[in-house]
Amino acid sequence: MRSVSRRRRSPSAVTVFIAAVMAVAAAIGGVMTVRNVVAAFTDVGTGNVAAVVAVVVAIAPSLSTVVDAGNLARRLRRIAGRTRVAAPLAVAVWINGRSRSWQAEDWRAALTESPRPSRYGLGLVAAAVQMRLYDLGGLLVRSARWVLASNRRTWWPLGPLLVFAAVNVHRSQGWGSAFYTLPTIIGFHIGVEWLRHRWEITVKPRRSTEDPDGEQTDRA
Amino acid sequence: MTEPAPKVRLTTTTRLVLDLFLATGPDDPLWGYRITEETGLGPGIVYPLLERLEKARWITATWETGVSEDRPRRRFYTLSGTGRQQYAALRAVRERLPRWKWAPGGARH
Repeated sequence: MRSVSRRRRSPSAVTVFIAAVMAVAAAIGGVMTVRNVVAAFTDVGTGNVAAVVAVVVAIAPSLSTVVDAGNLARRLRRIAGRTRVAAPLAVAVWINGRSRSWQAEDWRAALTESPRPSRYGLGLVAAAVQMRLYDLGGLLVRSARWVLASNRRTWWPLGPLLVFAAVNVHRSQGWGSAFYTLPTIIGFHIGVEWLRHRWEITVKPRRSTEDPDGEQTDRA
Repeated sequence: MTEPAPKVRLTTTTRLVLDLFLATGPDDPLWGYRITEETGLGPGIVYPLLERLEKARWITATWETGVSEDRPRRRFYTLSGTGRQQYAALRAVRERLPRWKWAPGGARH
């Protein structure tokens, strides 16, 4: 049994980009601030009181720029985080289809619990794909069972195909090679019987009707 | 033609999950996320397996009740009587099978 451990995550590309934008904004703001402050203090040195106000006015826009950039970065990071979790869940629910739409609530609950929801979400996508493939496999097996349940459905398509193969080999290579198609025909028969036995399929009995004399007549 | 209940094959992952069901009591329900955490299996394996077990009627599922509005409901799974019996029977068959082990030097124990 495994214990849950939180690993330290490396910063994603979005985080690095946001950090770079913030750094550039802060650098520009910083340079402007320093220049304005120096200019204002030079004026203060000469005794101009209004220069103090100029200092405040100079600092304020630069600071607000940095704060705005920080807020934007935080908001973008939050949106990116939410998308990283919501997008795989939406894809998984979409793949799952309407018949399993009830599972979305259980999966949302699991994502709220998981310490790494984006990774768990990708696992859910894999689960949805697997369940869909299982459905497809089930459909194919059901079709095969339906075909194998009747001799007519099984051998009417297969028989002419095997005869055509034998004739084709005879025409192109002669009787000797055509003789070797016989094991293939026998192999098909054994394969069909093996599948019927393995899947426990009982072959549909031939439809029969009573004739006026009371004897059973096979139609199929 | 009616679709038969899917057969459950005792793979390693199936045994892991079913052993977890046996290890937990009836008043200690299991849900998808907890099973992934306890067994170490990923959700890509656990959820399809749970669905197959539920279709085979080896486990039963119920929705969590009395949950607060801010959290979605979990789906609780419990091992059914049929599941318990079938699993025990399959395990008994499996234990009767001869186990071949590779032993270095040709000695077989």
